[in-house]
Amino acid sequence: MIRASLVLSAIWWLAATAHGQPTFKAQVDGVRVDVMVVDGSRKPFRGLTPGDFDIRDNGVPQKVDVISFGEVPLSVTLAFDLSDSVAGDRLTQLQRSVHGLAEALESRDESAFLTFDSAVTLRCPMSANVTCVRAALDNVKPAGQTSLVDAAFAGMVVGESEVGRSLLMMFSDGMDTASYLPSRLVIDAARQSDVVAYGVTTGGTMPEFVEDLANVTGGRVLVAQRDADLSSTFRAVLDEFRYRYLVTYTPTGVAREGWHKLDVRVKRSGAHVRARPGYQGR
Amino acid sequence: MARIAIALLLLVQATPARSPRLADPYTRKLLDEWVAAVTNHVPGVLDQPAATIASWDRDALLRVQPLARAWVDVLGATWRARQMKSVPLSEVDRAEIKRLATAPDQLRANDFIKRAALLHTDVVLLAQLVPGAVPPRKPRSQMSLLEREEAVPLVIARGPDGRFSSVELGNLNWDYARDLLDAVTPAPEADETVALWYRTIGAMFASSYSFGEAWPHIERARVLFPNDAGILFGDAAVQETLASPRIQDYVRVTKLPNGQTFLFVESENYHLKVAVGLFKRALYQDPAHAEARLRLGRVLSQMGRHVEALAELQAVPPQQDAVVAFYTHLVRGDVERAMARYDAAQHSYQQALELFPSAQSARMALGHLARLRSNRDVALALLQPALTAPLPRTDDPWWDYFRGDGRNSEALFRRLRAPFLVTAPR
Repeated sequence: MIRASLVLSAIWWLAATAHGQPTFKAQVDGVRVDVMVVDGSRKPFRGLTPGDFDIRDNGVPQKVDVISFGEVPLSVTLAFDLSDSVAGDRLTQLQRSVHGLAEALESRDESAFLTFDSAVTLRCPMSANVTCVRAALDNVKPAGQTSLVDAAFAGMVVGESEVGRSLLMMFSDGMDTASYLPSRLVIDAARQSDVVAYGVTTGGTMPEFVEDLANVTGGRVLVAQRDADLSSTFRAVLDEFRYRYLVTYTPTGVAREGWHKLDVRVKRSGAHVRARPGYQGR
Repeated sequence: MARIAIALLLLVQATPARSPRLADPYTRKLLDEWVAAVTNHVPGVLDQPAATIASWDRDALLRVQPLARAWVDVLGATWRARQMKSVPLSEVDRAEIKRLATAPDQLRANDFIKRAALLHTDVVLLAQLVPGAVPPRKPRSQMSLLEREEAVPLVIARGPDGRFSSVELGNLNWDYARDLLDAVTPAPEADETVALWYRTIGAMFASSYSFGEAWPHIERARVLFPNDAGILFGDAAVQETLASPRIQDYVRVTKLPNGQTFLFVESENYHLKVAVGLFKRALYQDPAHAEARLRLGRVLSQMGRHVEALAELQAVPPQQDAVVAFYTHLVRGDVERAMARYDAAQHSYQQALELFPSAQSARMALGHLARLRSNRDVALALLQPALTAPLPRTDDPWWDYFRGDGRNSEALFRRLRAPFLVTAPR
C-alpha cells in the first residue's frame, strides 16, 4: 500500500532536522505518487507547485497536499542479471556502470545491490555507504539461469523505504528461466508498493515482465544499444528518477479499498507526465 | 557451469535415403566399423568403438543407416524384415547383408540390436563430453549429395538465459537407436528393455530441456507403450514444462530466422490439458505414483481448479523422497494461498522449508505471503537467509522441477545399462 503518512513524516523530519529542531511523526492516511514531468526534450519540468497538478483518484479530483522535487533522498536498489550471458565485455561494462552509479549517489541516498542467476543474492543491504555497492561486481563469475521475477520481488521488498523515494533499477539481457514466483503475483505486489521500477537491457527483446513492472510502477524501460552505452543508460535512469515529483494527497470521495485508477495531469503546456496508473487500496 | 541448451523442434520433410552400395570400399569399411563397434562397445563408456562412431560425419551415418536397418531386420526376422523392400538396397547388397549378419560369430538378434541402440545413445551423450570427438558441422557447399537430400530435423537451441541461440541439426544417432529397437523380437512393445530405453532417454531429454529432440521420441513411445506409467509420467511432465512461462514466453517473443516457426509448442492451456490427461492415465496404471499425483495437483491449480488440486495434493502418500515431499508442500501452499487460506499456506510453505532450509523458492513463497498480508518487515526477514546464504547455492529442488522425469535419469541409465555390463561384449 502507498503510505503517505510515512512520506510526510520523512519530509517534515528532513525539514526539522535541517533547522536543528526535534523530530516528530504525523499520521495521515494519504497517498503518494511519484510523477515524472518532462518537457519536449525529455528534460525535467521544474518549478511546479501543488496547484499545477490535477490528480483524479477513480475519477474523483483530489487536492494535492505536498509536492517535492529532488528533495527527498533516494533508496536505490540495483538488481543485476549475472546469468551465463553476461560474461565477458558486458560484465566489464556493468562493473563500470556500478562504479559510475556509486559516484552519482548523494551522501543522503541509500543503496542496495542484488544480483541474480538461478539464485537471487543480496550483495549489499540497504545502506548509505556505497563502498559495498562499488565493489559488488568486482569478483563475480556470471553463470547459470535467470531468476528475473524472483529478483524483482526481492528487490521490491529490500527497496521499500519509509523515508526515501524507492527506485528499483533492474538489468537483464535475457528471459526468466528459473523463478519460483509467477510474474502476475509480483506485478500485483508491485501495484501495492511505492517502488518505481526501471528496466535496462542491451538490445533484443525486453522480457514482457519488466515492461509490465515498469508500467504498473510508473517507471520505464531503457535499451542500451551497445554494451558500451550501459553506464550512460544507468546514469540517465538515476538522473531521471531523482528529478521526479513526489506528490501527496489525502484521498477524498473514494472508497479506501480496492483498485484505485489514477489519472495524473499537469496544467502546463508542453509537460509530459508519467506516473503509476493506479494503486491497490486496503 | 555447463551451458544448458533448451531445444525446441522444427522439422523439415523426410526424404528417403539413397541406396548405398556395399561394393563401394568406403561404405563397406563403414559397415564393418559399425558392426565391430556394436559388438565391442561397453555401455556407458566412451571407449574406442564409441569414439569411432562419434567421429563419423553425417554422410557416414547416412551411408550406413539403411545397411544397419537391413542388418537387424535380417537378424530379427521381424515384420519389418518382410517389408525390406522399403529399405532402399539393391538385391546384391541385401544378399550380402544377410550373409554377414547370419554368420556364426554374430551376436544374437535382440542382444545385438539393444547394444546397437546403447552404442548410439552413448555416442551422443559421451561424445558431448569430449571436445573434438564429434566432427564440426560442414557448410552446405561441402556436403555430400546424400547429406543435402537427407531429411533434416532441426532443433532450436536456447541458451540458459532464455535467448535464442541457434538452429542446429537434430542428432541422427537418435533415429538410429529408435529405428534399430523397432526390430526387437517378438515385438518391441513387449520388451522391457525397450520400454526402459524410451523412459530413460525421455528423462534425459527432459533433464537437458531438449524438447526438439524429445518430440519424435515421445511420439514413438506413445505408440509403443501407451499404458506404461513411467513413460506416461515422463510425457506428462514434458507437457507441464511446455506450459510453463519459461517456454511460453520464449516462443512468444522469439523470432526465428528465415521465417521458420516452432512446431509442437501450443498454448499454455493446451499443454496443461494434455498433461492432466496423461498424469491421470499414469495414475490409473500406478495409483501409488506420488510425483504424478502432486504434479497433477499443480497442473490443476494452474488451470484454476484449486479444489480438485487440493484433493490430489492431500492424497499424495507420505514418503521418503524428500524432493517429492518438498514439491508437495510448496504446491499445496500455492493452492491454499490462491484459495485465500493464508494460515494453511504458511504452514505448508514452512513444512517445505523444514525439508530444505535454504531453498530460495520456499522463502520466496513465504516472503510473498507475508507481503500479501501487508507485512514488509516479516517478508524481508523471511527472504534474508536465502538472499545472503553463501554461494554457490544448489540446494533448491525447485530449480529442477521442470526437468520432470529428468531428476531420475541417472538412476534410469544405471538400470538400463546394467544387464549389458554383466554380459560383457566380445
